[in-house]
Amino acid sequence: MKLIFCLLLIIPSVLFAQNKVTISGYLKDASNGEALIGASVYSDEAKSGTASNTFGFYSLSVQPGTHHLTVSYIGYETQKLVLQVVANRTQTIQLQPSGVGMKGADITAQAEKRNVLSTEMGVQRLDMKDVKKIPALLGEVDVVRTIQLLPGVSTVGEGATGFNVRGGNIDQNLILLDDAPIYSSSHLFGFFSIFNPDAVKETKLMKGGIPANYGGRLSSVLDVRQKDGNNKKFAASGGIGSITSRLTLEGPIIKDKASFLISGRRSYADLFFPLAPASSGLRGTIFNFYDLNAKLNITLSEKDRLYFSAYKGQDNFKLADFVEFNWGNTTSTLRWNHVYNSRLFCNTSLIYSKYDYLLGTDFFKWTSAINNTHLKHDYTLSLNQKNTLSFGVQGTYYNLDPGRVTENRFGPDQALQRKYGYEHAVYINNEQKVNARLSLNYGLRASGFATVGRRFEGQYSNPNLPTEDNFLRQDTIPKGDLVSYYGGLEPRFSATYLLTDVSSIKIGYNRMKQYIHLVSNTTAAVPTDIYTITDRYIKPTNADQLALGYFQNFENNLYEFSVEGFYKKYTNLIDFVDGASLIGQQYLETQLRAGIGKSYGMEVYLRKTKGTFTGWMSYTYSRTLRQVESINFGRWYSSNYDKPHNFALVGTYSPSKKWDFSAVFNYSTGRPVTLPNGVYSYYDLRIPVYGYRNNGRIPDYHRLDLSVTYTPKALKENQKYFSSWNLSVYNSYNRRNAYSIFFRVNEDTGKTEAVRLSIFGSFIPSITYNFNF
Amino acid sequence: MKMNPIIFLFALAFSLVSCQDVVQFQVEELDPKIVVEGQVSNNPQDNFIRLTYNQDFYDSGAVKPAAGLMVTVFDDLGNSEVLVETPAQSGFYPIKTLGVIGRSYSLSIKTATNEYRSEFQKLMPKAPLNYLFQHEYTVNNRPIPFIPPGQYALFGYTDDATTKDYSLFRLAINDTLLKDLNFFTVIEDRFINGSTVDSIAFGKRFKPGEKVTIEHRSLSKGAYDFLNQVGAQLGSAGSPFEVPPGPIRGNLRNVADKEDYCLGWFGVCEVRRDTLLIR
Repeated sequence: MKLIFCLLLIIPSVLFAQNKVTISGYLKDASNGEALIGASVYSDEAKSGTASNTFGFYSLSVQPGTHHLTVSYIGYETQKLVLQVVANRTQTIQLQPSGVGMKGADITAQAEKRNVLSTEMGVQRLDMKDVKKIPALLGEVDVVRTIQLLPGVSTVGEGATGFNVRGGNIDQNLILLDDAPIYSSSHLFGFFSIFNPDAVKETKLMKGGIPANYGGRLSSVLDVRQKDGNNKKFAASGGIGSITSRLTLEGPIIKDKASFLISGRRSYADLFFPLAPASSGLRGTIFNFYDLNAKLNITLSEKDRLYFSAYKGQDNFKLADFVEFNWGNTTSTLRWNHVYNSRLFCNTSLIYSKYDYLLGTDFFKWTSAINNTHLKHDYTLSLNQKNTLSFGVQGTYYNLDPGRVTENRFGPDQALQRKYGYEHAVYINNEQKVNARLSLNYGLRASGFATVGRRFEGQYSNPNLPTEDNFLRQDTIPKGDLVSYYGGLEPRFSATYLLTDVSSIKIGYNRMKQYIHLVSNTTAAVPTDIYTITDRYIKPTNADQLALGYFQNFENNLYEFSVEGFYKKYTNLIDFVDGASLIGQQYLETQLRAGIGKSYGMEVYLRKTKGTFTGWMSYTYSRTLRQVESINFGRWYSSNYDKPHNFALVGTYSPSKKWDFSAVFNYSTGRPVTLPNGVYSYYDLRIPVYGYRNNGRIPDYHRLDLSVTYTPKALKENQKYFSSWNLSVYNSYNRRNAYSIFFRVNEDTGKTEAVRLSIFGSFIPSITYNFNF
Repeated sequence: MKMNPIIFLFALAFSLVSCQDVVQFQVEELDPKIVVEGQVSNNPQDNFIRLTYNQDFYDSGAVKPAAGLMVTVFDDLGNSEVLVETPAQSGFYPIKTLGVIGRSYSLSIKTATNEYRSEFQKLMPKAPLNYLFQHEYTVNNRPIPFIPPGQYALFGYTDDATTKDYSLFRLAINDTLLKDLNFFTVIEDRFINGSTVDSIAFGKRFKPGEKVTIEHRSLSKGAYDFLNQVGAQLGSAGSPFEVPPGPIRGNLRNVADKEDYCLGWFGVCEVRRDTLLIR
């Protein structure tokens, strides 16, 4: 029914669009040929514009005649051109970067007002140039840490993997690196993200109003795009830091036709272990992480482009010859862009993604892996000046290997059962400009998930409450047979109504379904946590989100302001019974319970976009609560990441081209914890009695980071080598923020005492040298 | 108590940068609950129930016994024994009937207003030790990080392949049980079913002349889960990679109120003790 409604909206527009012509092509950076994502093309005559897609392709329907086009993108010189358009026309446009920072940039109002005009809600873009100026832990510029300073985004604490968006768990974020899903986005147990800043072109976080082409996760999409590689000239960039060093090489294979990029990053703290005394047994110790990014970009013809990108990242830990532990992601993406005509753009992607880990000791080796293969076929059709239609099909094959023990000194090798599943979706989405004030974005996604054999399935006397106590037997489901099938419709809608030239109100609704879940009951996820897919007992989780926002720009778009409220309702949300045993668990359903949840809140965002001082302020008030029948006797309780108040202040002061001074202040309510309310004696042990789940909070968190970046002035007119120094101080006023409060018996006094555990006990200075040529 | 080796690795890395300090932290207090300790066993010295009450969280004073309660043990054949509190030892209720391997037992406690009852648990056998001997621990004559050279006790046993087995191991030196959590280990046979298990007793170095006793007992699945949770919570160092603590419910529940329960655990087990004199 809803689909019919969508079509009814679109069809009249198509009927009146027959005498239009189309200007289409690619928008690129003139200095290196990189595709510009989200750049604006505007026709004065048509009083209409469009934005380039994630491949830099744009398509604008206009009446035949002379058109004065304005092409703009933040950080680039605006280009104006006059085109005589009598028939469909291809026009590739290259924009010149506006120089260091955004000072003096001639940015048009269309590009500047995008936050007000577009139908996007809850969408944040990160410019890597800005990210690199922000103070960083140990000098490591980090996309995920920067995201945590945005409204609606939080984390359970320092050193925790991932991030939480509007009350969602970390597994509810779809993290994409060139369309490949990433299952563990952290290095070094959560301190750093896997995204090498030198290889990243654009980062976009979608918290709400998620278009229908995205699915499979409930809370957000973090879309990270790698650079294409410079197709004009050979270039190198890199840095030497306290923890890692980086090097990126890029250049044309065939000028303007084909380019490559290869980028590497490695930590080197373990290089000092060989200096340890021989008697310590530490000489063979390895403790490092690395990332390798590669991309190949080939223009096959005017209408065909091919992209191949790959990523390999790994953490390695080896304690002499006794313990070995490593984990990492491997992805590869092959994409083919085809322009059928000036209005129809097609992208086909074949994606492989793998996350695996190995834990080895003298006694056994434990391995686990998630393997995915995705195929996507997406179209964008510029129906007319007012409608841009997107549609496509997507399929994913999951092959999960939850764990296997080999070289087992205690007995035969063992394996948890593999899990196989197919996720598929078909979607249609239309972006419609109804009139000068009202724009709509609406779509429908139909998704499904089939779990298939071969696998074991536990049978229980009460299938609605699978527990170890009512376990009856194990059945075997043959290879290829259906274990379970779930599916449903996921409507998406957002609307923008312009109140004035610089202010708008927006409303958005989306339903999301998630068929794959992270199985973890620790406070922070660990690399050994596994994912599981839906089956007879574990059902897909659903979320419905409604959001309302007010957006306004001030002083000629110098300031961007927004306030958004949201309410999110979850069903089939899984949580863990108290004392759940997950490691090596064949029957996960016995440790999980399904419940409901809700998140609601308000986000305020104020950003200064230009001038010697730039930055933003974000404040979020939000709550996230859960209710599961067998937890807390069915009472509502706070989720682990329910932190009502979150405040961030980020500022960069650039008095000259040589100096940038930055500061970040971050405050949040302490996260919920379960506190004891008594103690008893049992076999001479003093055992605390813990109360209801998350019945207390740790102290509030706040921190100030500072940094200064010095960029020496070019000595020669044609200087090709540029460098900069960055000095950062993390946690500058030396606060010991509590990660947790735990309790122990003092051995001297025999009394129980509360102990605050802080991840960082002092301020952390660092220095990084960056270069490019 | 058992420590997950994976968590150990994380905690090790984590400890390199983190810091701890004692702080004042107020908690709410719980109304008194009955604490159950003891078991039905095939060994007379282990065949008892001890009842006490919990204390305020920061109270380090003496434990208050739960005296004068009506305590009854039932078996799956319909037999029962009303326990008689030892006059000189308030809250201590010896069990006269010895446990029989393969039979199930339940406990009831009646106060003036409530009755608490456990489910029936089966008394499972505990596999005997194959050996217990003194050993100077080395691997390929090389130093082992974090394990100093010295005299250790090695023991081994063969797990019964036909049953799901859960066990508790404790250590006594010179007939005194060590109260430290490190000498209180529960294990399950999920990855060792039917195997012969070799172990360095608690990773502890011993001195010449010490009498080492390995106490090992069978556990029900419920008792294993209970003790495992207790160990995890007591061993908590607040690391982000640990399971957050939560309420650990005992196996005696108020028959009229599902939210009311006793603390502690009523066990059903076979207890064995093996001894070694360190030279």
